[in-house]
Amino acid sequence: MHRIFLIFLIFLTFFIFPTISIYAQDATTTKEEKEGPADSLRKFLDNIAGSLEYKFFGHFYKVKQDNILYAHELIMKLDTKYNLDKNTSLVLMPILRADNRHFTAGAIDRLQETENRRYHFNFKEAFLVRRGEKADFYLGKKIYSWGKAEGFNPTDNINPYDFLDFPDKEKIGVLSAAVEYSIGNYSVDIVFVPLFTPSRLPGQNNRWAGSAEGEITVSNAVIPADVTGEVRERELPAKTIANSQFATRIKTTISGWDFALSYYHGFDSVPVVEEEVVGLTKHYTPKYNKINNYGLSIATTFDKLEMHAEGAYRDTANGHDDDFLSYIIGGSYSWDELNLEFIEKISLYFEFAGEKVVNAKDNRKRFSSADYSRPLKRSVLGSLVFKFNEDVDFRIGGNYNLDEYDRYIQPKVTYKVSDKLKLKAGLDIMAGHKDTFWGKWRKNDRVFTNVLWYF
Amino acid sequence: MRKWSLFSRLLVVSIFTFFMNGLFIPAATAAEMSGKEIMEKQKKLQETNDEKEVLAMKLIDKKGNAKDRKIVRYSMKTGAGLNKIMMIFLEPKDIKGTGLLTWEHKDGDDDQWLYLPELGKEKRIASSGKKNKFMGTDFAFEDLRPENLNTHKYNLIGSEQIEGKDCFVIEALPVGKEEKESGYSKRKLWIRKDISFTVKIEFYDKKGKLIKVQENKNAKNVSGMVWRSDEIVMKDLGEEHQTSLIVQSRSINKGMDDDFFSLRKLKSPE
Repeated sequence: MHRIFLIFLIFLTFFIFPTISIYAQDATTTKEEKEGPADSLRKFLDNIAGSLEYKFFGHFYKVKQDNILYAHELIMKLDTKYNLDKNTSLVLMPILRADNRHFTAGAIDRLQETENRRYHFNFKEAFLVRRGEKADFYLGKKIYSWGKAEGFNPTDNINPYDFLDFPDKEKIGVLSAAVEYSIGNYSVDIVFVPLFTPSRLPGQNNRWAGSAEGEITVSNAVIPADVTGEVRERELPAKTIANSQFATRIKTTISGWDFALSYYHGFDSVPVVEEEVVGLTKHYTPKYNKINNYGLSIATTFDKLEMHAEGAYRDTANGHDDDFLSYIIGGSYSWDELNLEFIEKISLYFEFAGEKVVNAKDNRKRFSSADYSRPLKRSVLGSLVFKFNEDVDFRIGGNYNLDEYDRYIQPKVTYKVSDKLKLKAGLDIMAGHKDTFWGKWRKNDRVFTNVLWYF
Repeated sequence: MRKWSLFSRLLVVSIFTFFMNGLFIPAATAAEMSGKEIMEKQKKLQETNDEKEVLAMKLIDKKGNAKDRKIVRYSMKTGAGLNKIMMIFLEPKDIKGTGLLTWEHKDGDDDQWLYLPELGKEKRIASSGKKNKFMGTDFAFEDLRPENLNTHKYNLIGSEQIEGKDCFVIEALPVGKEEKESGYSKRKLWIRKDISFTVKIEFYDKKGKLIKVQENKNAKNVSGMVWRSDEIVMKDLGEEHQTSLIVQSRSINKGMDDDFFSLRKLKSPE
């Protein structure tokens, strides 16, 4: 069944829709203008947008999980859109990727993306969209982005993440049906996600698992070395209607202020590891908590200063994690009339993020891997961007956790060689005590370069 | 001496009056119109309810290197007489789908959102400095906004011919808050007398030096009394850089409404 699905998608992408496109073009041309198949094919190929990206990561230290110092990754993305009629389109974004870190294997052959490794062939997004005057409807695999903040979005819960390379994390599309309805200054989003997709976490042999000598990690929850037991397969929620996920949001703009109220009912995409004692043996099982997330985000501007705030109250339905409020507040400011020869613009982004536990739960039998969904307890985030001209900028960004003094800094240069070629280079630097969020990756400092070619 | 009949005298007076009307009355009308009135007349004649344009831009530097951009621009006038503008980048591919939505306000800052396909969401942004260049072109943000008659003082400073067409020469001076925010101390506008259409603009920096020249070429009557240019060339005299803006397609007064200029449409207008 899965193989048939995969073959069907590939067939759609590379054979059926190009053919429809070619015939559609033929239908709109007159007899005199009729083009040959070669012209039609050229037109179709001209309309395919995509990119080819090479990523290089050079680590400074070997770690016990992974002795690869130099990582290479090649990614090809296509962005194709087929207009089925005036208001209906099929958007397919195939992605081909390969690397030397064993992050990738096989090809997508099912609707529910639950594999621990990425696929060599996948669809970043693949959905049908029907546009109307007042509402747009979406059906298929899609990425949603909610929230106003830069560094972290407590109201953005629909999509899980691929955390295999934490600083380079990516969102994973989810199979969903959605509607976005707008009238005047108001708009309402409703998203239904029938199947649960977990976040992809680093395995034992990945340097981003981050455990210290003697420790083991299960779904990235660090279990102390003196605790022994049997690690079981994660328990994914059953495929039932009761376990489907739902999100809604209402947005408006009033007198220069943007407001969004949101609600998410579903699962935390990052598991907690539950300890169970069966006879004399301890078992550790990653399980996914059902959550309700109530969010609010606000944004406005005062002259050249942009300000935003975003917060969400998370209630963990089955009591396996705390109920808490996470929030982030910040802004951005640009100095864009510098009258300097070598700098066109300087932009500053600044944020403070925090968490307030409202209802602490008994977590003695659980090892939390919640760092990924609750990373910022009391933190400052920011970046400073120097734009030298249209083609060159330098950005230095980072995060500092005020309670545990762990930190992350990323200086990065972007150079646009031409409209088709972009180069990026920079450093990822992490520091802090080994038990802290960034500190556990203190030996993962690295240099990186990206070469991105658009076609 | 021969006496003129009453008929002959009436005929001479009529012919004289006819020629005098033809020669001097338009000039008298023009002389009576102030710079502000000419601008108001232009605004009244050239304003539309809504417009959609696909624009190809060519940026050429002093070495002759060229870069291409392509955008689609939607605009409409609200019931309150304010503008809503949406611009979507079609090319180059690295910024394809990037959108900018602006809701103009009479008082206070405009609402402005930027949609970045890479992020998949819109962001409210603070208004960029009006003096800044728009996406590396020779157009500053303020050059792309409709003429705001409330923030400028207009003086009629003469009459000149451009390509054989009589033009009013108007001096536009920023006043009030605009004087501080604008990158220009003044602009000179050449407005064709017959169709009330701007064919040339000179831009002067704060020190009064001519820095840019915009020429609106190939004026075409697109609807009723509405004229538009199919090619706009902006030359930066200091940097020896120029931007040509070619209109690839245009539609006017197609009945776009407020709902079109929404954050939902910014992601994917059509």
